[in-house]
This record gives sequence, structure tokens and C-alpha cells, in this order.
Amino acid sequence: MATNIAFDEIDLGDEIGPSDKMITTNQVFEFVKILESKIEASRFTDSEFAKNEGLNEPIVPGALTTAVMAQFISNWATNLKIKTLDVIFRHMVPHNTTLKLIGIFTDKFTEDGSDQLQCDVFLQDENEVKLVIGKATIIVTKN
Amino acid sequence: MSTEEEIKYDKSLLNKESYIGEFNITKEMIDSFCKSTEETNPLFTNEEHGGIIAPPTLCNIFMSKVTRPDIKIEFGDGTFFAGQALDNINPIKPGDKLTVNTRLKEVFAKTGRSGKMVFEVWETKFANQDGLITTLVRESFVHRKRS
Repeated sequence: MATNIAFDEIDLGDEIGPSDKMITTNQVFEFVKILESKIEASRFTDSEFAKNEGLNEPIVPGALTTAVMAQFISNWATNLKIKTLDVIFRHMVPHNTTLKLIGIFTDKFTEDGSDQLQCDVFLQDENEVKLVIGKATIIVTKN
Repeated sequence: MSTEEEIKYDKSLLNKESYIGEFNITKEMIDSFCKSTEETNPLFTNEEHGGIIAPPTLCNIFMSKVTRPDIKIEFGDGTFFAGQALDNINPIKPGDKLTVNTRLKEVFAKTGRSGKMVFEVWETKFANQDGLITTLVRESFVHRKRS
């Protein structure tokens, strides 16, 4: 994990990553089990179920994808706190494939004494197709 | 561009809060969330760091439990999930009891290359046992004509 970053060190256009990430079937099962004691067949957990819904294969739950994108941003430095995160799902995210995360700072400002950054974040597949796009507002804490 | 007046739906639901339920936040829940995302940030994983808090998108796991009233939109023949936005307002900690309410925030139309689309936006509010809002989640659904 990184160390603290100073607000003044960040410029518009600076990038986070790219960082490779794979979300495995085991991770999806762990995620589903947070609220469900038994894993039921669903588009997230079962190939046949997914095919019956017109999908090629089981997909990663949107909430898990969002969590991974938030983690990518907030773990870039130890003093970042995600204030808002907007995401748009453009394509399904499959299990067990290499994904690429990229962030680009698009704005920086101070509001009510709080130093904040805006960052576009993308989750791409191996062919650089953007599967999920997001925009985060991040608070840079001073400690 | 169409105006809201042209969209037919049950306008009595606009801004009317519906109670969804209560969710208890446990350390085990946060641990499982962190395990599934391979989280290592000590803020979320290490109690000796000053007491853990939940990762910023934890509330998202409860969104699958949110059932919304049918607003009876008279438009299109297909509905798709368009996206979501999370606002983190106050931290969530183990032992918190979150009360969840949802409301229809807005309905509006846009016309794009593929024709007219109607957006339905819901805002779900998570508040803790002290009445503090922890998280707001806005979800957008788009109605469109397939052909």
C-alpha cells in the first residue's frame, strides 16, 4: 500500500495505475455469501442459469465491481477518502479474466476547507474495452 | 427533448419514502466483504488501527434487498439498469444498525441517437442508530423501446 499523498503534488491529468485485476469465481462466491447463508444458482454463480438469461457465462455482481473500483482509488494513497462514486455499467464483467483499472484526475478544488479531487476511473477488459466507467470525488485528508 | 409532463407514470410516488428495512452491521460482514475484494487497507481490516470502519461501498450489498414500487411508466418495452452513484456521508462501523428508506427522486426523458429514453431515478438512504445518514445510493433505470 502507498503512503500519504500531498494535495499539491497532484496535477490534473495525473494517472492512477494502470493496475491489473482479476475477480475470481471464489471471490464472487465469498461476496454472495456475505448476505446469503446458501449460494443459490444465479447469473453470478451458475453457468446454466447465466446461459438461460442470455449470458455467455456467469458475471461479477455490480456491487463487487464497484467495490473493486473504489478500492483501486482509495488504496492509491493512505490519506484518501471516497466521498462520492458514480458508475455506469456498459458491459458485463466476467469472472476469471484479466481486467485493467485506470484512473485519471480531472479536477481539484478546496470546498469548506476540504481538499478534494475528481477522478475518472475505468475498468477495462484485455482488449481495452471499457466495461465500467466511473467518476469519484475524493477527499485528501491532511494526516 | 421531452418534458416530464409528457411522461405518464404514478406521480403520487414522487418523493414518497418507502421503508425497506433494517440491517445490522457486524465485524464478520465487514471481514467477509474485505475478503471477497482482497482488501488490505488497515482502515477496514485492522482493529488496532483505531477501530475498523466499513469500506465505502459496503451498503451496496444491501441494494439487492431493496424492492421498489412499480411506478407504472407508460413508455417503452424494456428497462435497463443505467448506473448508480454512492455518497458517503458518515462512516459505518461494526455494531451499527442501519435503517433503509427509498424514494423515487425523479423521472425525466432524454432523446438520443436511438430515440427517446425515460430515466427513473431512485434514492436510497441509509441512516444509523443515531439518525445520521451514512450513505445515499442513487440508482438509474432507463426505459426504452427495443425496436
